[in-house]
Amino acid sequence: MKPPPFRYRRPTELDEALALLAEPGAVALAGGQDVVPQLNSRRLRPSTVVDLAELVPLRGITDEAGTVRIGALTRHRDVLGSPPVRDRLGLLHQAAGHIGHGAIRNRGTLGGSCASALPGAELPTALVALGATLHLVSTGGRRSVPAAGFHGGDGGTVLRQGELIEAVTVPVPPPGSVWSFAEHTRRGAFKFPLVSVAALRAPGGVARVVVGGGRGGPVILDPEHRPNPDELDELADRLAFADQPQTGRRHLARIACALIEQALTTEAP
Amino acid sequence: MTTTDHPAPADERDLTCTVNGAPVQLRVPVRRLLSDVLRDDLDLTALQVGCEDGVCGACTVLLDGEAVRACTMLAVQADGHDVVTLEGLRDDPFASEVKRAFSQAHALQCGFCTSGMITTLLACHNAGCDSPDEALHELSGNLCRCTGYLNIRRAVRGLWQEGEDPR
Repeated sequence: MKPPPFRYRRPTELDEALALLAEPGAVALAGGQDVVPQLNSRRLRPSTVVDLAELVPLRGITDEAGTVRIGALTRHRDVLGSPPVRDRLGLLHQAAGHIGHGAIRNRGTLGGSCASALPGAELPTALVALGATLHLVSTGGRRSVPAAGFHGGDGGTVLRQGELIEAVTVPVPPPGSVWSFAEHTRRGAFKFPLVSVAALRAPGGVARVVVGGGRGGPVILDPEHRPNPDELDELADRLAFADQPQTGRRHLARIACALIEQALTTEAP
Repeated sequence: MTTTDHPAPADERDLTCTVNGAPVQLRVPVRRLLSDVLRDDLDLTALQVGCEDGVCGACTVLLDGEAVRACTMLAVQADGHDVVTLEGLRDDPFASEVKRAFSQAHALQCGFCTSGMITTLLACHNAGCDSPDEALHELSGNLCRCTGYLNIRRAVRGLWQEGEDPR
């Protein structure tokens, strides 16, 4: 199908973009890998599409002391090709490498991936494991929320109408940390992950294991309470897994068990 | 989800870009997809429109040299950019090699998906992909409903492995 009618604006200043986004029915367009298919299928019928393409300050990666700051409009391709991400945030680098295929990574953005909050998406799962912070901005001002508190119930987020993700800051794990990322998709590069698992362990510490794929966003598992393959219903509840076409929630929980096992036995580097 | 019961009037905007090396200036409705502008306004019909959901890959074109899905872009998003479709790749040596390999390995039947496969493989090659497995992983974002993929895989392996006969 084709997109419904809407107004289109491509502001060059953040303030202008925020004023436009504050209007009812406005949606932000970043890389369009989720928004444009939603327009095509008319699941989304905005009054105004605010294209963020010219907001240059929201793009790019800055290596700061102990932290890497990634602009929300940074494409997956640029996250993947960034030396600070590769050298200091190996888990994020590994997760970004799993995203779709080239055509998605060339357009899709970090902020877009977080805002669309599709269950199982790679980057949100990795960001929760890394203890990242999302920096939000609106005409009302700025606020920061931890990645673990960004996802609300039933596939939503804490983003308010008119609020935009400006950047994500990711603390660099201490030297000697090990990590792993694993996911299960239905079809090679394209199909979206049903379940994604990120694990991160500081030297001498216990691994933080995060599982994405449930409706409430990525879940941090209690390190003392490893999932038990004999208690799939309980695990599916904890991870807020819902039945999907061809894949029941118990099966998703079984996949999660296998991926967690895989993540904990294949730590990098 | 954001919805409105008051659809905006038809909004149009100037689109200035290059397509296959030639400057293009068009007035387009803002809701028009890049795939429709290329096919219907510019008559570049090598790219196909399959799913309009970013799933099938038949509309893959090069934007500033990188593979993108023309159906998941509004045409106005290509403003100021460089678009290349299969028609613009007649003289590209690797695109010609892909066509030959596909032909020899019988890697197409109806041909609907082939344009998107060639542009995907070309972008992969230009980005420095050096293994058939990596190329095949990239290509797993492109659907084919005729071949059962075996011949496509054979063609791709032949392209990335020197000396292997793609037949």
